[in-house]
Amino acid sequence: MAIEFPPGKRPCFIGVGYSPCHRYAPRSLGSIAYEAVTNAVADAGIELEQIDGVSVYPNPLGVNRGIVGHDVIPATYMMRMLGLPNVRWFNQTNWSMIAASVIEAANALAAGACDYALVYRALHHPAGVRYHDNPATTAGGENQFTVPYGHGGGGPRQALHFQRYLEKYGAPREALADAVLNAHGNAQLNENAAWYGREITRDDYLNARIISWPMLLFDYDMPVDGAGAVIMTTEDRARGAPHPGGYIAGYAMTPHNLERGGIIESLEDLYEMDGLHAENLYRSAGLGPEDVDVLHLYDGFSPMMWTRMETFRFCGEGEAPAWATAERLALDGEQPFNTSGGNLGEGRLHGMAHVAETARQMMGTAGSRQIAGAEVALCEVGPFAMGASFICTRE
Amino acid sequence: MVSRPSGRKETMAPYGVLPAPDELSEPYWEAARREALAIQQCRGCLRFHHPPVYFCTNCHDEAAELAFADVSGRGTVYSYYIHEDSDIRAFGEKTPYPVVMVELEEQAGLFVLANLLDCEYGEIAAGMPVEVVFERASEEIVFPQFRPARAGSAG
Repeated sequence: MAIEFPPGKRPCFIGVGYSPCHRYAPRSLGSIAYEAVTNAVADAGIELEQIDGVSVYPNPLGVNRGIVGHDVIPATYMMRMLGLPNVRWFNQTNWSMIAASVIEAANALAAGACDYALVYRALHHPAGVRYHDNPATTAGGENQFTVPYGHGGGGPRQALHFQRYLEKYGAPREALADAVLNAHGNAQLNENAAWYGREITRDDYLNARIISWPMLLFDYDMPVDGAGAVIMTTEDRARGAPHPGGYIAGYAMTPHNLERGGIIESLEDLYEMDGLHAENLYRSAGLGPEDVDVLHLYDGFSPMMWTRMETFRFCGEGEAPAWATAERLALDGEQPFNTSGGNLGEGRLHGMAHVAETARQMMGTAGSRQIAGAEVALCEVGPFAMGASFICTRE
Repeated sequence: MVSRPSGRKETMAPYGVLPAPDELSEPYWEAARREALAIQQCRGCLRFHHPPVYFCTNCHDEAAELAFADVSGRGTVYSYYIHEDSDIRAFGEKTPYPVVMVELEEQAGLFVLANLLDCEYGEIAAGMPVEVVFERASEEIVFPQFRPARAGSAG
């Protein structure tokens, strides 16, 4: 079914703001988030007081302590920190990361629950600890069937899917280099990126240390201190904004109807569910992959770029290794992809790169990364079956 | 260009992380103590569930008994990886080690996770037949593990 908004109420983006991503920043996460949000408000040409809706994916990392203002910035903290006097609606998403927060804000805006929604993501990576450093000596719940075998976080789970993919389709793992280097190359044009000014080479990628074979170091995004924010409003209010764009045409999320595998979902179940996700997205927007000028797919672990290129029908099943070439994905290529560097190039803000760059490309504010004449953008965020996506348009 | 780590594990002992059995999982670990692989099964629709569930998500019959049944312990490698930089502290000294996702023969899509023992890492491949073996970790805990299936294994 097509998603329809009341006349004049199509949700859209009017501002993007960032605080640069760093491996470690000697600042509080509150100040980092404040910088991103105030930059977004300035970019939108509104006053802080006009924000009357807030939507966030606040979840801290496993290595965080969950201390509000230090390593997690929930909506409640943000509203208090900014002293927002007019908030009528807010939301804390706990699934599908920041794209789901955008979808919730779009719904609230279209319904009139708020007029100007702030959507943000802030993450803190503490110095001196390993990103995933599980000190467990016992494991309960479902973990009792996995952790005692040395199987931990999301990376190893991705490694299982990736090895299955490589054997099923006879693909060489080295072919992923093109998509990974595309991200790192685009990050060289994004001064907010953690990898800005530090471009890696094909040799760096292919010779990096092994984490979980067949995955090497640069198949993982890098955890960072950083924050990003967007301001959304409705079409009628956006007319006076300096550079509105990214009118939401449709959205969808991954259904969970097939997670029959139990301990870990199979690549095949993920494929089928994500195929449903993609079809529902296209149907909701009345658009298809052939209409998409700028493509942003989640890349917290690099192999999921390939699978989503296929499930979202940019190429056929098993064809991504041949399809996802450097030439095709480049800013001046046939299918510009993760144009600000994605998670891999910008740093691990859980899809904020994808959302912010989708907004910028459709607002026309992507600067040296701007894809000339781009009319339609697709943004998908979330690993495994945690996907949420939206399509938006320039006009 | 780096290549697949080489190696072979005869054992994963000593085990640094032990399960904390609960009311749902206790029969699984009880079976392992007697060197049997038991998987929870709905006695109504005969669907296997792993990890075990409180309510059959297949037939939804609240009256159907959920009980553990011994399975053959045979299956095939669905997928795997070789962990070189473990995210679990207790495994820091054990790297590189293989983690396999085994599809049990009793039901399509019925997966258990384990380490593959007695197999050169270079020989692990999706589809290879494997069989369960058991390793004692403590007084209370015995771990089901897998090794390549041996010709003539009782079946």
